[in-house]
Amino acid sequence: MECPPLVAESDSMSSTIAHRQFMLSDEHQELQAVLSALCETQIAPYSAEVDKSQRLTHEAEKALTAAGSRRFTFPRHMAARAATLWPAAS
Amino acid sequence: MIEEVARVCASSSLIPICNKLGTTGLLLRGSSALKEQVLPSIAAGEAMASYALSEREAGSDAASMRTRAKRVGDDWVLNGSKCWISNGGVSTWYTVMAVTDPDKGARGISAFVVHKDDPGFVVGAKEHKMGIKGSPTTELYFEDCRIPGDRIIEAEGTGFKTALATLDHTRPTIGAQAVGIAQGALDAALAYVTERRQFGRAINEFQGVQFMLADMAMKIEAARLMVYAAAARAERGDEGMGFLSSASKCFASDIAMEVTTDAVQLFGGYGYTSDFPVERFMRDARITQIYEGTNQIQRMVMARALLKG
Repeated sequence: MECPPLVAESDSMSSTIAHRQFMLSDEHQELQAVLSALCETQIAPYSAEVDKSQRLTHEAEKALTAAGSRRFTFPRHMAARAATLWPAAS
Repeated sequence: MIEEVARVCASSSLIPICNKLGTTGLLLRGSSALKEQVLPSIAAGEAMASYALSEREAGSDAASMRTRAKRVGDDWVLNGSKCWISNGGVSTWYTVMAVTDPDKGARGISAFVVHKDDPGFVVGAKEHKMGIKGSPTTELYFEDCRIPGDRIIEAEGTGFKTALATLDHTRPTIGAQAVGIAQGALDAALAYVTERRQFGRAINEFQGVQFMLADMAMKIEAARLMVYAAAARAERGDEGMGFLSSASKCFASDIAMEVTTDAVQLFGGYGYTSDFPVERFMRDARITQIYEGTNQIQRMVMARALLKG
């Protein structure tokens, strides 16, 4: 899946542009929750050690790639080989 | 995504940041053939991308760059060096700005895509930095670096415009990184002041501490809203997004520095040690005021937009 629009388009929202600009869509909030959990469990445990040893963030790269993060900024057909584990993609 | 990753590890947030920065020019202005050549491997997670604009003597004044690219037959041959390359040596693809016509100033700069295995491409030593230590920062050297002729982005002479358009899209990502770092520091501080007891009670019961926490959260929320607004504008491709892109990066990074400094203060002596994460957040926050254009440059961009009307 491609990254959903940042600005929610739901009719149930306020129709004012100013309001809509500052709201995340339901899909984005879902992705945010998934990412937050992924970061806590798969990236945070290594952050201090990565800083101290000045080594590459292999765990983060692996976790983010496996979670399909690379699909976000690319045209759909180019991201065909990317993983997609987002619940919203199913 | 960048905000959430930076909340726990700023170094790791450089992975999506660099990939975005290294591919945005190509996505905005590259030919379909070049996109097909470069982007699928990055999208699949098999390769990463970096962005090469700055030089030792051409930082904020990027248009004064000296790296040259000359046509040789069907190919381009690059000579010169670039510095401050985030994820240098890790990335496979590099978007590189080089002078193709020195008589035309900024209009004589072109953008190219260089592969790590191109002949004459050399990665320099890693910089020793204050923060974001899990993301290597290096120089790049181009020693008669020969690349195919079709690796130019858009037409000759459009590279500086591509570089600036890229930054309009990516500066909010630095704002997002700054918001994430600040939020991580606030999270840590909230946990600490709840647990830490002095004078017979948790220090979160002291009004002075409460006021600091409230100010930190208030600033983060303001920065977050500005970053989201800037990101939405960039996504829509709005005209004149330069002001808000710069403002979001500048504001959020200044807030990140204030909030992380306050977090260290709330931890007292413990905050000054590497046993707790807040000193790392503070060191990591500092770069957000500097890279992708110092905050002084951001203010110049904003002032220019204001005066232009």
